Amino acid sequence: MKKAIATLVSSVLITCVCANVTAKDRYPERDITNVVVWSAGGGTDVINRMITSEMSPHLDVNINVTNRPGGVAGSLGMSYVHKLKPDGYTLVGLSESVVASAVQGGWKQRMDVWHPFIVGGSPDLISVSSNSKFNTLEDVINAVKANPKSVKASAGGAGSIHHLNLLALANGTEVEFNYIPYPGSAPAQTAVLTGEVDLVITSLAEQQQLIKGGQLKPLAMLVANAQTLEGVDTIPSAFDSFPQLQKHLPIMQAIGFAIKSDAPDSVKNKLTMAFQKAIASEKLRTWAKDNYYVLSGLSGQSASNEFAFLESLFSWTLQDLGATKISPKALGIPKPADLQMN
Amino acid sequence: MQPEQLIVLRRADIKAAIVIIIVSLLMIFESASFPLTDSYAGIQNAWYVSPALFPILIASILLICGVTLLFKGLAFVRAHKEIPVVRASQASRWRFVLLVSLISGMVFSWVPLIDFAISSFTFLFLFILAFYSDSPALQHKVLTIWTSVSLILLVLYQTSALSEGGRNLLDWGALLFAALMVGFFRQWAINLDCFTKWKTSVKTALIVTLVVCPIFRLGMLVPLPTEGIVIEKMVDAKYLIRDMWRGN
Amino acid sequence: MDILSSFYVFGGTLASLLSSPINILILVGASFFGIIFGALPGLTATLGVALLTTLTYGMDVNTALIALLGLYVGAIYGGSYPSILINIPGTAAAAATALDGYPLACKGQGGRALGLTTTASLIGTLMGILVLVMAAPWVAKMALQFTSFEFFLLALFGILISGTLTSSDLVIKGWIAGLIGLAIATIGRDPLQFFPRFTFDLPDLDQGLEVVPVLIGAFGIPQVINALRNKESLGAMQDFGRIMPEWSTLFKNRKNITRSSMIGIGIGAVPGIGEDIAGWVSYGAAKNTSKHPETFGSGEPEGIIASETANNACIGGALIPLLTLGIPGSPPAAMLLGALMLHGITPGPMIVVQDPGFLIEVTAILVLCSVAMWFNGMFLAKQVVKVLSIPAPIFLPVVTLMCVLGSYALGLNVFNLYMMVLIGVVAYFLAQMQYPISPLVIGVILGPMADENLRRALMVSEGSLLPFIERPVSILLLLVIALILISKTPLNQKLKDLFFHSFKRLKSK
Repeated sequence: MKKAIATLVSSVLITCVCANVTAKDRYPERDITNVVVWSAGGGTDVINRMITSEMSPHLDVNINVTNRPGGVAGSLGMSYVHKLKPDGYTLVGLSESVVASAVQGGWKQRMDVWHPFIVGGSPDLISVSSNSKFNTLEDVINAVKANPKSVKASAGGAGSIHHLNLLALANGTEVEFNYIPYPGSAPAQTAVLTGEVDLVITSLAEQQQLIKGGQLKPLAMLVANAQTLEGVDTIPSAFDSFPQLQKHLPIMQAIGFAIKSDAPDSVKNKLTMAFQKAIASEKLRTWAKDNYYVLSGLSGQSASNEFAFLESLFSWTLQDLGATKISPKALGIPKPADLQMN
Repeated sequence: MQPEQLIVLRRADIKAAIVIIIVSLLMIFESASFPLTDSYAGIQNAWYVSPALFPILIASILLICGVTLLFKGLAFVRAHKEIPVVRASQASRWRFVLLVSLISGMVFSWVPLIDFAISSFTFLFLFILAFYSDSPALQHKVLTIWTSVSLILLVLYQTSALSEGGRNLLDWGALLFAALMVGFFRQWAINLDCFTKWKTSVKTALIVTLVVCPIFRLGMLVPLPTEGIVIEKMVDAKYLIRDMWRGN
Repeated sequence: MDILSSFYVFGGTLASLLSSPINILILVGASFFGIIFGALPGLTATLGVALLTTLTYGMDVNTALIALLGLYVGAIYGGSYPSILINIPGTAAAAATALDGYPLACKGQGGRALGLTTTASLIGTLMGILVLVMAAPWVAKMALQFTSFEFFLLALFGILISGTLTSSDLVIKGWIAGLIGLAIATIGRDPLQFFPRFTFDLPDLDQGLEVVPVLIGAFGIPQVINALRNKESLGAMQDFGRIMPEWSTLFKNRKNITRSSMIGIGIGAVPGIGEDIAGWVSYGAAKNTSKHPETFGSGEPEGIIASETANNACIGGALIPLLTLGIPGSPPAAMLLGALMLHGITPGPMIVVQDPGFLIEVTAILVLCSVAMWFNGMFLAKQVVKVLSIPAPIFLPVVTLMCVLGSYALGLNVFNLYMMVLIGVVAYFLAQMQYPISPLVIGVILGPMADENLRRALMVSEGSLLPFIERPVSILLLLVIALILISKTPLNQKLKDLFFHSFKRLKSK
């Protein structure tokens, strides 16, 4: 026993000394960790597990996914990764909603500390229960116009992308819904099924099974294009009947991951290469199509621009709702209208 | 229950009841400042929507319970004035202080600052030795040394932002401290005739640390709270072995 | 699909799965690791499934399901080990098991308690599966009767149970402990409007206190301090007790087992809540309907059978809304949903149409998993009891280290450790003053649910309380709550005494 321990200890020591000698020459030489800021099993989590599994063969290392949810809009996970060295060995898995973290007092950084890679997102749509009296979006809008705040609407949590879509719909059609918040998309959809609320706005990926199964009746897509869904009539775009919505919509999900923007360029290039290959892979494309995700594949400057836009939009919308702790002005976040796309 | 124990319990109840009453009053006071009527986060507030509803409800019931407890305790103490109050033995109280110092020192000072392998070894070694030897002399030594070192670390942690070099230095210091502890306590244990217990303590602490750290860090991919000179080397070693395995 | 072809698919799946030695190896391994995961304080089924998900990426769906479900079933069962042996629940789901399991272990019947737990878990899982196959659409429909009103009443029901887990001293102490738990639960951003409550501008408090560190702090720290301070040894070791199933005890408990399974399945099927609550509710129900409630808490086998049957029956229940509606019934089921999506399967109403055999395949896999759990359990229980022969001063420091790691592992946040120690020391003092600790933990688990749903319910009804007495499920829950309240009030006892007294007097005349 003693001998065994001695051998073990000495061998560990030797390997340690040797390990010190191997210089940090080429990235990546050890496993990468992707810290997802939302809890396990959610959309951001699944997409991050998917993309990293597809990326890892191109980088020749494992990419381990861990979850570090909590704080305000994912602030715990973001602060955790932000504190680490910018060596590219820790990614942060995030989605569009994290941009509101700063104005809500979650952390003190803006989104420009990240170098994002956007995998994509699923378009939002408005649906009602299959036994609802509403058959078109016009029905709903007319009912609300006739009787303000009579229609109960759920759209995930307060300040989520679905909530922002609901607000944009309300602004564009000049009506006011009675918004009932739920802690996530799944409970919001369940609330329509149980009849607790009248309509729900969440993403197509989250609703598709319930729509195909005849539990939910889709009214309109909140993007410019109509959507075909097997076994169901084509879902029209809300812009067809309410063209003025184009001023406020679409607001698309942006799910992906990021590294710190001060990471070396060689690391960024290596990751971008693997990311593009993964996005192009057959498996990811089929999966995205089957689950109604629209792949974006943005990286570099265009991805940063996208996040800057989302940050501005979320921050100022929440400011208008009076739900911010720190004003976007104090953080130096420009208004959406003043945003310079560089 | 014996009346002697009961009177101690009721006296403690009175103190606890006062704490409960104060805390619940503070809770109600604080809740009153939550948004009650205006709109917040796009939701029009009414009394039934307000974030203050539930805390006020809970705190009010807690307040009633606290007052009830207070009166029950007072009535009992008044009725049984003649029963003398017995106190816990001195030794038991020392052991309690030592336990709290060990656990909170580990969590508040060692874990956030020192490499997890070093801190868990030191913690386990001193913890096991103190209680396994069951010798008050050793327990007092552990208490004094552990508490003062933990306090120094805590002050260091709170007052200065350490650079990476500083942290490494601290790790080496902690490693030296662990080695010194093992050495000093060996002598003290021999003096107190419990050398075998010292041996068991060192062995258990070493084996548990060597088993737990790799399992959590490498097997379950749980990043450890602080990864310093030992854990980083352990991770490097994994890749070295992997590269040898792959044959490059 | 008719029953005959269902059986055909079932048998076929079983045969094809069992014919591959790799599958069997994965099954046994996953179940084994699940048990270990559940047994280590703080490592939950959710974390285990999350960890395994990435590993199963390359496997085919059935193999992946074997691994994931095997771990899930094992982890829910494994939580009972530390509950029984050292009075520190490995998972929140097994917390109710500690109430009677630990006293049994103290009496030297640790082996018996583990044996009963193992078989009760097996029966619970199988009952859950049975209902999953026979009545999934019907149960899913029932689960959709739960709106915010019912959720609030369910939470209230759970909280009231804490009143029945009374202290050996004053009854009011149970209530105070529960209220302290509820008060702790209000810390953090409120779930509806995100308004920071009692956060004292600490960013770490924004998300509120996590259940796992609170659980470990409340049970683990007081246990360590108590045993070492008073030089107590852990559970008695002189007698392992019998580990193989005791058919007579189980037969005596047939009503208990049926009721507990139904409670477990029902709670599992209601979206968003799961094993954590099922064990408590079932324990409370067993105690309240028992002819001798006073024996609960001092080593009553009925108690551990109730909680363990229910938390394992929850698995089948939680899969019902997952597979029929795509809504996960419990937190680990939510992780399972993610894992399934990674394999290109989106559970939901369409799955019956697109892949009619899928439900039966899952059933077959679950049966295999529960059997593997039973065998592993029978093997492990004997070994695990032996840890009690390690002297407490060596064992408990190691347990403390595991508590530290377990509180850290799920949230990866050192702040959780601070909370664990603070809660632990407070819980120790409360326990010294004869407060029961379980109500505190129930309060922390159910507080957010009660708060959120009460306010949302009132938001939906615009401040009216009428829906509480207009909805059928809600009325039922109200009735049960009223019954508990009436049976617990001193008034009831007096009335009963009065009644029996006058009755006796009449008789004697």
